[in-house]
Amino acid sequence: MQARKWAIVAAIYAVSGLLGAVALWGLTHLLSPVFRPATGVAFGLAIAASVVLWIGLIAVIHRLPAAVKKRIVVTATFVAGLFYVLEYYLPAKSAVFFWRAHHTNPFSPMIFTVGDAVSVIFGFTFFLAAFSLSLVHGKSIAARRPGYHNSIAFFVAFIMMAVFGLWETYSPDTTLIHHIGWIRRVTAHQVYDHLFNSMYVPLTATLFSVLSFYMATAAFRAFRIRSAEAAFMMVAAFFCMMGQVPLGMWLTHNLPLHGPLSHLRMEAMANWTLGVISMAGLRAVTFGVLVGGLAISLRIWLNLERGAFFEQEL
Amino acid sequence: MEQSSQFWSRRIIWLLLAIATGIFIVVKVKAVMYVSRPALSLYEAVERVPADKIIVVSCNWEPGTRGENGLQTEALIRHCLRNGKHFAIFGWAYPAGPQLGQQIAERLQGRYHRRYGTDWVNWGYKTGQNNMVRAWAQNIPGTIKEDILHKPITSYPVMRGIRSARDVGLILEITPSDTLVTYVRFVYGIYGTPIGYACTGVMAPEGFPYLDAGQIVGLLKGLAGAAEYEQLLHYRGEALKRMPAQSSAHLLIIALIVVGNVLYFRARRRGEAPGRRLST
Amino acid sequence: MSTQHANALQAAIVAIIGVVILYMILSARGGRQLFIRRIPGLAAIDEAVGRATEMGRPLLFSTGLVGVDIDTLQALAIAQYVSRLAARYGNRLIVPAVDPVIFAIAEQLVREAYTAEGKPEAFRSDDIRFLSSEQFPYAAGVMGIINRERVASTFFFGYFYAEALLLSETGQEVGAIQIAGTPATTQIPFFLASCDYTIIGDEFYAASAYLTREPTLLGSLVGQDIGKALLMLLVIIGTATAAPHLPLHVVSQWLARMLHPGG
Repeated sequence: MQARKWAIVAAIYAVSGLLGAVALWGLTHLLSPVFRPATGVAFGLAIAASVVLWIGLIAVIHRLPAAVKKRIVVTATFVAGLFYVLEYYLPAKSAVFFWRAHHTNPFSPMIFTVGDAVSVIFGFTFFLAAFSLSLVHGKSIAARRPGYHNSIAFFVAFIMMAVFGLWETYSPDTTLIHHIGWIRRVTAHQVYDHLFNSMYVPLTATLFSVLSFYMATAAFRAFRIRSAEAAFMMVAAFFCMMGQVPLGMWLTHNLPLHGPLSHLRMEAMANWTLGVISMAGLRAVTFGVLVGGLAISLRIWLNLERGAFFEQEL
Repeated sequence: MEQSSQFWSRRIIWLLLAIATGIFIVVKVKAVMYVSRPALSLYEAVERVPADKIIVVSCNWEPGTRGENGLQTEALIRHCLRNGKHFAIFGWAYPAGPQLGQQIAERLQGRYHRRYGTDWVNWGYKTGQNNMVRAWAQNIPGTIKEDILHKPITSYPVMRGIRSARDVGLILEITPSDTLVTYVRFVYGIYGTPIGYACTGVMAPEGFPYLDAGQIVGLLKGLAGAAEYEQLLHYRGEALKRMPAQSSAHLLIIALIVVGNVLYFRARRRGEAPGRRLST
Repeated sequence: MSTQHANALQAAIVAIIGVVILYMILSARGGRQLFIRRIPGLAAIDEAVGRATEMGRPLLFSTGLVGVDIDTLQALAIAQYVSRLAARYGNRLIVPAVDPVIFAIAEQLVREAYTAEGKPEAFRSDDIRFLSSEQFPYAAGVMGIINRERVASTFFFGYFYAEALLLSETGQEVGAIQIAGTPATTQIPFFLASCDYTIIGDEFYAASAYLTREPTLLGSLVGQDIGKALLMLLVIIGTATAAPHLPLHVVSQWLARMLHPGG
């Protein structure tokens, strides 16, 4: 009974997949005469029409019952995943699978367009990010919460970087200040340069540098030889750390560069530890991680995932 | 009491580390690096790039890792400029990357009498990640279009004859993150373009499986890798100058581990609780 | 048009592993009992949430530095579990997001958790924040939140880069109980050094199965293990036939050629 039920589900997936693939292919052939590269006014009109179309579509979908919305999401997920599966697993050329002229994979030409569409969708999330940040920090300033001066600093930095970044891109030589007091000339490029090189770059480098201090405290606090494995790890860590710095290399510099004893040089032991032992372990973990990724991808693609944000499966 | 001792022990450790590394700003010590096989392989790969092909210096790094990736970029660009290898700076993971690469190349070009547009170019930052890299590998002028100065890249002499990844002699991927796999999958896997990897020290172990499989031709590991490369160039640059500080920091950390373990074993012998156990 | 396509062996391996995973999922749904060993880090989540509630301090859950990805979706599945617990105990859960899409998903997820536990008024939308999509600004933001809010428990699940140690050491400084899980192999040592419990490698992908005990997820987990065994078998065959003088050396050569990208 269970087996029959799942056989029916598999058949539904297969048929929808086939129909979806045909629909995708047909749609691109039907729509390609309409969607030609546009410039100038036509380009602007095309953008406006796309925005209106999508807003209308979202509004219609928003009004549908929850069950219908869920089915649309599930179907779209399956078809989208199927596109990439077919594009990758079907060969580039095959007289068996593809009956068109030259027997080429019809999905391969579409892959760049689909990828561009995904990039555009993700681009809209920029507005969501800016809105969220403005809301949180705006509320902090309005309510005068402790530390609200940091929120003021956020707005100042955000606006300055956005304004001068755009100015630098489109008109870097614009003069902002011309002969005021001892200031001779200040251009948009100079201000942006100062903001980037004198503020952004040192600040991010500083935070990365803090890492080294935290590493030292973590090493002092946490690295304890509680077991034989921990002892092996300490020895390996010693070789890896000292084998990469001149001081460590100096410790064994008297050993020959060639021959059996050269393997006992600090840098040789470090490279062997990294390139053989560590690499094998990393490769093993990578296998596990990738198989795990495959499993999750399959579950999402075939709507087998259960959980709050995937809700009940159909 | 424990919190107070932790508060002060942290600050003392930080002060010791600051002294251990900062002292070499004043005290100059000459460091000599023994070059590892992965760094030598990368050097040789750059030397082998033919004159009619371009090297892609992929600056997928941000200001935070300037201490490692910045010096690696400088060493690699110096090698390209010195040998007259044409190169293009490029980036798609961090917007600041190509800009930082530009600053380095502009600073170095005068020393080797090279010029922007004739010997090198900067394609700038491009969005789109995997999709863009795939399209780029197939059609470079069609995907890149403009350089960082918003001029058509086909107008530059250095771009003559460069159409696709087949015209790229070597990709130098300089990054603190896992962007290498994109080039391995979509460029090396399809066009066989050689790839060199220059990463931060912490990411180096992830590069070894690719090196072992022959998917990358060489590997620079963090600041030490940059120093090894400067050693190969016979140039005493910033990376080599900073290696004594790194030696000192490593020694300090080993000393801290030893001290920590001595204190731990003493406490254990006295029967005191060693603190919260770490578990996996 | 040059795009990469799978060859017969690559397609066969993925297909076999996929079929095995699906078969085990169906098996588990059919009532088959599957064993999963204890994972201390995941078992400690309840303790961490309870401790935070006793101390009257909030929780923090970071989903890593990557946007919408398998790892982040898995982290959100764990976040859903943690948010249900937090809602049940009436505690605050702060979720700093690195991606606007993750921010939107996390906000809905946490809001629904509080609603499901009958405490919609306890949900604070300001606790779900987009900080920055850049690595160190995000790390600085999270470190600031941990210090200002004096969080009692921190959860780091997802893909992390260099900021892993920055975040976990800051949590150590405020005395938080810390649980981390990441498939990022290079950051595991840092989490091991600073966190109380660390979930390594593919234990991370087992987390949702472990916490919910859903047959689908358990079956998927067992299927993954069988898939890994298959890959191990290929490695053993390839290694055993690698020596050039062996008559079966051609097997190793064929495997290397077929499994190489572009092969």
